[in-house]
Amino acid sequence: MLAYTLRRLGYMVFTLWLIITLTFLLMHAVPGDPFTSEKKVPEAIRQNLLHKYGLDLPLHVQYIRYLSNILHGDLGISMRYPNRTVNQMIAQGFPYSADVGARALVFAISVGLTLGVLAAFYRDRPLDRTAMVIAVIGISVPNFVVGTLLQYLFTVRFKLLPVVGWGTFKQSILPSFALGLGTLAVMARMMRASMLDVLNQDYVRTAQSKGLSNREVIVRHTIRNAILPIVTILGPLVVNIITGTLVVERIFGIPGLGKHYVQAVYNLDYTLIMGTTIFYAALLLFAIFLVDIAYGLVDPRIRLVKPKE
Amino acid sequence: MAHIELTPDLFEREVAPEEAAEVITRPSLTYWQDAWRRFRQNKLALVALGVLGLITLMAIVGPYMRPYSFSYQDLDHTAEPPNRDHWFGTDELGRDNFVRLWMGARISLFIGVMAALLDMLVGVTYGGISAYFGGWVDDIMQRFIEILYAIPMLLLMILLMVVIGPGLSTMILVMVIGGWVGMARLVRGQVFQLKAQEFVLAARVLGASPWRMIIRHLLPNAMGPIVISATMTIPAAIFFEAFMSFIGLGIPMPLASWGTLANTGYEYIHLYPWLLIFPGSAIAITMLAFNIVGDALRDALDPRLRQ
Repeated sequence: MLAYTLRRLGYMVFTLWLIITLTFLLMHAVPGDPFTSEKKVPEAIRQNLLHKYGLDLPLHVQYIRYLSNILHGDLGISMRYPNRTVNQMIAQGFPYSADVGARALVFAISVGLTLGVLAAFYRDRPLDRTAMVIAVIGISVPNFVVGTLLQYLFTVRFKLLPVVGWGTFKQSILPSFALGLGTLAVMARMMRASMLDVLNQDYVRTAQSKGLSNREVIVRHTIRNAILPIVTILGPLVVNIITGTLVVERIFGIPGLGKHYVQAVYNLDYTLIMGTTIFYAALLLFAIFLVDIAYGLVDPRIRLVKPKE
Repeated sequence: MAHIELTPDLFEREVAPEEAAEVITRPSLTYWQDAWRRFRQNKLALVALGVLGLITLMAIVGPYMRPYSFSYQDLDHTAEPPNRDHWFGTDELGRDNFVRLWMGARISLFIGVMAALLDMLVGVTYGGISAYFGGWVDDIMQRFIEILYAIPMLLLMILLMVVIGPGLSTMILVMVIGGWVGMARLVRGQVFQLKAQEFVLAARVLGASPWRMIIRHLLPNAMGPIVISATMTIPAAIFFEAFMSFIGLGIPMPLASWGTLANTGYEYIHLYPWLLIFPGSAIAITMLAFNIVGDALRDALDPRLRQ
């Protein structure tokens, strides 16, 4: 298990390094420098600006500087707001994003898994059909359409919930729902398929024939085994949630990292985009790393397989 | 237990009707005919296919059904709700929403279909070569894919859009960069499975060239999963385009895709809800239809997965 963990850790660090290098190269592939688009400034000031951001140095020096800064936990300074660092923005915005993301994830996983289990258990009955209709809608309707329509219906039309903002439980209902719905749908579908698969296994028939109640068969023999494949999609789901926060935070005016990121994209604030991307990537790779470890723990077969196949 | 005397007269000899066994009762069907036969039984999928056909038709003729151009601004009639002159209303600049919706359909569908086709082209070539030659070729090609696969593509795609600058071809290019890896892995797995089968050995014994082997024998047999995956790529691409438009990286004005239309709709939702409702429903209905058709295709092309 230790060897497996170390190998996964190695992969994670390597991938992160690759992403950092890629972002660096991409950002330097942009023609001109970040100040060419600004209104004409005297050459001396331009040089000064370039010098301030270290952009007058040779590329490899910049790269080594950049890497060492990141290793020291410094992601750079925003190019549009020179008095703000990327670290500050992350420190300020990420707690909100993590909060809304966690709520959405809890909502999506609990409701999604329950729906999936019930749908499999009541296969081809009305409950199954309803659950799958919800799932298909959840997959088909983009989250910003869901979010905007919910906002319109519940706040403008019926005035039940606050329009924007973050802090109270009431304010968190709509964003969590809009953010979690897609994930919920994927969860429900996967869980249903996985449950149906397991329900056909011999050991379930054995459990049934030795007289266990349906409840016991489902809880002790089916869900336990059916939930395993679900663990593998947790990585992509975290991606879903992260990209979802970009959208949902904008709609509901949550001052999170996603909102800053979209703002940075609008402003073409290169350093901020770069820093945030690396932060997101690190977060994501860490999540995938945890999922891999968890999977190795619950399913010993994974650890034994050579990395090659 | 009672003892039963077994006597020959208890048994009746079944004469095998030799001619009857040889009669072919059903016409022989090719793989695709058989798949179509199964697909047809899924009524919902047929409806979804019809809806997609209708949307495609409207994307072609829709913009000509009304006497407005998609960029014509009628400043006397801005932000009108749906009425007789403007079936889906007008936007904040007085442009006809009906025409813009179907122009948007052209762009959104074009992005989706192009992304799927190019994914297929790159993925099939890469995966096919990697699996067919195997050995060290495969080793090197797979290491490369593994590295790419570990990178969170969506982040990279956003970054690429920022760097290259928004536009129709950028959008498609970025989607292919992010999407072909999945296809290549799928094709490689399929070809590896097929390579071990006897008909491949037979073809090789008969002296088929590598090119012929891949084109004539391996790919046609791997086509089922490839088609399913491509079908699922289209809604994903439409979704991605809408997402990009929403975070400000959509295609530039005055061109309209469903994503940019929905983004405008979002900005005016409290005043003119119809600006979101039409493009939003168009995206949702299209995605729904593609997902249903994709699921049905999976059932039809791969009966083993059926439960």
